[in-house]
Amino acid sequence: MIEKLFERGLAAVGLIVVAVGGVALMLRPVSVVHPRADLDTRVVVIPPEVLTLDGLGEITVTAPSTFDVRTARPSDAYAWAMGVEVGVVRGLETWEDLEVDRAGTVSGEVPDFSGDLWRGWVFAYEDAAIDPVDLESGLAVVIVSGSGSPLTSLTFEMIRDRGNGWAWPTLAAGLGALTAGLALDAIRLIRARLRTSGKDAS
Amino acid sequence: MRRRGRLAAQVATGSLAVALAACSVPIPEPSAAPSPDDRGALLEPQVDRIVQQTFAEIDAADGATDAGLLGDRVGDGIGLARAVEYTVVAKGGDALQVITGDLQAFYTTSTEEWPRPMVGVTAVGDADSPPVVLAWVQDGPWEPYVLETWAPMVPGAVLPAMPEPSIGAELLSLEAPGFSVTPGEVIESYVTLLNEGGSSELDEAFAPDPYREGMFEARSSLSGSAKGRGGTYTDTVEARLDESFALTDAEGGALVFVRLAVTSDFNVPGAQLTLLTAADKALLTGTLKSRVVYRYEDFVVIRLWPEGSGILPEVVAAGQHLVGVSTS
Repeated sequence: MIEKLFERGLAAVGLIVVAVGGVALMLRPVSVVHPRADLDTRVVVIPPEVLTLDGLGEITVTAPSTFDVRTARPSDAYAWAMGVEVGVVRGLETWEDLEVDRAGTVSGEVPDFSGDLWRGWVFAYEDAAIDPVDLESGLAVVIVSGSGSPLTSLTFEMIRDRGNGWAWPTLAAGLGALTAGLALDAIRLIRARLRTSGKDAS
Repeated sequence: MRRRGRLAAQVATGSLAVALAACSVPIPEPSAAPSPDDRGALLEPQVDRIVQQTFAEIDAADGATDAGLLGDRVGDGIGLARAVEYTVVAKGGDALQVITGDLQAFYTTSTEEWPRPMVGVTAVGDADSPPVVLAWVQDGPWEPYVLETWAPMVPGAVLPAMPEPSIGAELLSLEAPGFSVTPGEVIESYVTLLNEGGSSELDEAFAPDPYREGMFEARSSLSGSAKGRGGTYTDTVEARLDESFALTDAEGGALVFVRLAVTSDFNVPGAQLTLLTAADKALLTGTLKSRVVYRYEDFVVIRLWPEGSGILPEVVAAGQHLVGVSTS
């Protein structure tokens, strides 16, 4: 009786584990996602802690016409940005959306002259891709629209950690337990039947 | 039978919930910001750009002897001094002091505050062209670095090793301890010494330097001349503390960069003075009678050693910039 309970229990647990592993595999999320944000300011700041997010790949910026991508020490970038209305990228709101806060003061003009703060300054037209790997670690990125219009959008390429690398081992373990439970049960049944037929023969 | 069905449904729902929970990958959160690899406020390419733009303005103005061609990279004070030099040269006075943007060293700071300075030292020239210490200042994040003043190095003086630009020198408060005296105290003492003259007890608190020796010699001569006619001659020296600054060096000491306003007042009541040079006459504002006042915007660099070193503060660079001649 105990043997029977153990074998069937083992098979039942195996079945549940197989179900969990199988569902996890079926619901596996895609591995590369592109959270984005529509922009409504002429200046966007990406702090260094956002540039080092786990899984961050290329950053794509779009604008109506010209813009430039600058880098600076964070303290310098923030001090500069306090004089204008900026969007500050805080990170991911969801896997689909970036969190961009408005900060700074409303200002009609973004002066172009103040080039002394900037460690790097690259001009672009309509769109540009920034690879954080190419940036000096610890610097902030400041994107400045060259026209009077706001920047258009910002998109991050994110490598999503699927977080379910356990699904295959779980499925295998469940199948093993299920198989073992069923096999033991079958062996026990066969033995019982053989014993019964031996008795009948005698 | 029904019970079994309910149990199976519960198990399936539980399994699905567990699987769904396991599948939701958490959104990555920003962690602590990494520090920049290079903490200095300026790196060499930025300095090169500032120096190149500054000397493009100076070269253009020098070429046309027109201070109006000096732009955003040159401060008003040094612009005024350069305009005076152009007048002196035009009237046959001393030749224009040639300053080049060929730097042998530059010092930046690690500060995150404003105003913040940058210092350059020009390459070694011939005996008549000692290295010149140039001081730029940036007043705010939106402002350019502006060349505010310069001073030739004192013969025989040696500048200390300074922190690498990637690290940047610490911008010290004038009360900063750790040196033979604080930067503020050395400024106060040196200004007092300049005002009191060579007989001041503070004369022994500083290593000898040709800047103050020259000032005291001129004062002695002009005082004698004025007294002989019943008049007076006085030098008044004031430190522009809000435009002075101090940087740590790499040897435990500091360099103190001091802006000085100097007024030399020659007054002989009842006399009709005459200016000796055409340049002075050209620079004079007002109608000369018994009094003439020369105004200078000077710049000295004082080296401080670490506390306990026993070495006297030393002026390592000093420059005198005449900015005006008037009658009051």
